[in-house]
Amino acid sequence: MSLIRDRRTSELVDAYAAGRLSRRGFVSRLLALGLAPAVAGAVLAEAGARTASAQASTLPKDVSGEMRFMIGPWTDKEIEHQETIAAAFNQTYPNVKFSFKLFSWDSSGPEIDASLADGSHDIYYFGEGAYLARAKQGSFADLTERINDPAWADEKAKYLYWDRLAAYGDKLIGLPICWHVEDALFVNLDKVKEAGHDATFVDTWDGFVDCVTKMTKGDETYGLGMGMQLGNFAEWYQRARSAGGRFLTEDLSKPAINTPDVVTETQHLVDFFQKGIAPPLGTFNYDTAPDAFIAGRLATYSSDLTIAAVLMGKPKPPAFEWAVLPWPPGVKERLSFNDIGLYGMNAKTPNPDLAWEVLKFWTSGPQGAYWTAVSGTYPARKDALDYGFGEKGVKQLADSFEQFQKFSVGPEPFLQWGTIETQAGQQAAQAYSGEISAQDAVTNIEQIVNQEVFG
Amino acid sequence: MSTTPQAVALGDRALPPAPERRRLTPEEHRALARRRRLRRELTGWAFLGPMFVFFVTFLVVPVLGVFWWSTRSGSLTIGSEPVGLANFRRMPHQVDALTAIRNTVQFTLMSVPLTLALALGVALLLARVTRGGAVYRFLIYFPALVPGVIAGLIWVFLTNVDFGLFNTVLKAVGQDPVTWLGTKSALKVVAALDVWRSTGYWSIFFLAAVIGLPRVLYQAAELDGASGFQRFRLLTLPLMRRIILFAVVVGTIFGLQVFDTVLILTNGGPGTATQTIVLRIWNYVFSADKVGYGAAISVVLLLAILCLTLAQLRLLRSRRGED
Repeated sequence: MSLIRDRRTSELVDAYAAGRLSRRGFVSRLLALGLAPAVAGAVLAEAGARTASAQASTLPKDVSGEMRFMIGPWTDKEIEHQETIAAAFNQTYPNVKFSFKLFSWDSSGPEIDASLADGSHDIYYFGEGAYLARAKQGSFADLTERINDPAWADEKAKYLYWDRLAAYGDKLIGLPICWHVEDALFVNLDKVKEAGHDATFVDTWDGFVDCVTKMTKGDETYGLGMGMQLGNFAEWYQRARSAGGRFLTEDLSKPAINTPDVVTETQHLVDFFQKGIAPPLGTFNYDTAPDAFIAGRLATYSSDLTIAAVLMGKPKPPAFEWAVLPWPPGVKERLSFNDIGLYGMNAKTPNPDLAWEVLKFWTSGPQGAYWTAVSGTYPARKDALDYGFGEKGVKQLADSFEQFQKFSVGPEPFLQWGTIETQAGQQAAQAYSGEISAQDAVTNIEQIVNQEVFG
Repeated sequence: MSTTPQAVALGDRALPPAPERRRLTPEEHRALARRRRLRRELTGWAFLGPMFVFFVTFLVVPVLGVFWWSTRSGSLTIGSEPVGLANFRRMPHQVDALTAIRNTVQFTLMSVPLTLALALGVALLLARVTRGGAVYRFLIYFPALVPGVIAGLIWVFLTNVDFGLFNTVLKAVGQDPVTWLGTKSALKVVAALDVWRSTGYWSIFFLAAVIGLPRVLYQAAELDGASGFQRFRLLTLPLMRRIILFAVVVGTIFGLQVFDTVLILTNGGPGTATQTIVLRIWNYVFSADKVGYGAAISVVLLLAILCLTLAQLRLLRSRRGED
């Protein structure tokens, strides 16, 4: 029996099915018509099925148009990789043309803003750190209806981290393509073996400290390189989370970072510098550390996953056995910090249906596995290994894929997170270089949280 | 002979009478002069126009925009709202607010005097060179032609711990390598880079001034038995007061705005060791998307530079009558 028989109910269902009405708006108007909540729920389900059947329709094979991408350069072959995926798409839809513009990571925000404003691109890559601001901004198309379309539910279930995106609000503005571990350990396993350990040395804090201490040989070989990660992603935040700290409490009502455990964890990191296990800040940086690792100057070092591709792309890649491993457990738990990368579409795109088809294709199992493998990051799909992730890219990444996933944690869902993390990293660095104590650094970070969020 | 125009017979053809040469009235003269002046003015403005449009579009409007943004909260991404002077009130309470100011002032105090002293020395030496002067001038000036970003990259390689030129030299003479971009030394390295880059620029300015100094005064001083140092102290320095004043003011302004080389060489690190005011503004505007707060710091920096420049002008011009 159809519940959609009343004219006004029918009109609402049509509006909902056509995407002119949000789910929340649809339900509240059904209730406003006097329907009981249970009946409204049943109407919603039936309307959802109708909407699903409408949205499940694929585009005609002869659909034409141009999809203009604005993306970040993960490798120097980014355009080449994108064109490979475009060629695969053209096998089904030969009349669709593609163009790709690379933004600079340093100025990606303003570049994307300008492009969104004048509608010069249809598809964008953006990181989880910008998700909340982008969702509030409203320049990205709201994909909630399409993503939650019951007809697409099976496919949706293959993506990772919907729960994390849900923490940013009801609105979905992107499809995840990757998740990028920001603070992994690149480990020279030959040196680990020389120190009497194996790859499990990272499973306990004591084992980790013992190993990196034994691997340190004056200023010839440092046991652990750290403090040289880029921008917002220095390892201090990951360690603070491992000690049970957060910039804000779960309900985002007050700071939760200045705890004895976080200070202890910070002091652990300071100790590495004071004992000469970590090279003094400024000795190596993000760009020079890979060479130092290959040359054996760093037995292990902390950086983001991209370094795996950088190492293998060197004229002389590591001649020793190496691995990418998560940091050891902290005072409270073992965590690995990462952020999700997404593709979203401009709300002004002239062809949203085609853009949606492109988004789905780009983040699908085969294409996601391909792109993440050649870009040195992890696919945001549960079925990535089935599609050959790790066969094309760096083997070490695939080896540790599931291990990192187990400890995965993302940024906290509030707007000022990135700004605070940058400043927190600077405070931690001051502690590493002995200018301030670990306690002072954490106190300053709490003050920064207060200023940025509540000040 | 009559001056009355009349037809002049020339064979069968008659020429028309010459028009009467009319005298202009004073009003007509003035009108013509006014028109000529107006035409000259318009021509001048036509030439100035493009520059003026660029001046207004790319300087006046952005500066006004900075003042406008300084009273707003929010960002380019999610919009903004007026907050009055809240951005300015917040500044003193900012963690590490003084660090950026201290680093910028220290950088300027290290860089500007050293640059100008070296530039003056180089200019005096270049003024004595008679053969191959152009080559020396080019070599001295060359670092000034290098863009800040490239200069930063050059120094990244010079200061690299393992294969940088500086440590290679140190190792060659049996010394231990130095972490040049470490917490204690990074700001000094950034200042050294600036000296390297700016000395040639100012030395060419000073050279032009030195060449233009009146020889007769030096000859008279020599006859009076003045030593070289006395001639420098009592003649060269006073005679070059104006150009030195200009160099101090402009050099200080440049110094307080240091940005590109810091961004490339250290990105403000390690920690906050080389965090400068403009780098901080850049971070607020482009990384943190806090345009209002970044604009407020810009306004304060602008006013600080203005006050400092006025103070410098007053101090250095105090003995103007002796010039």
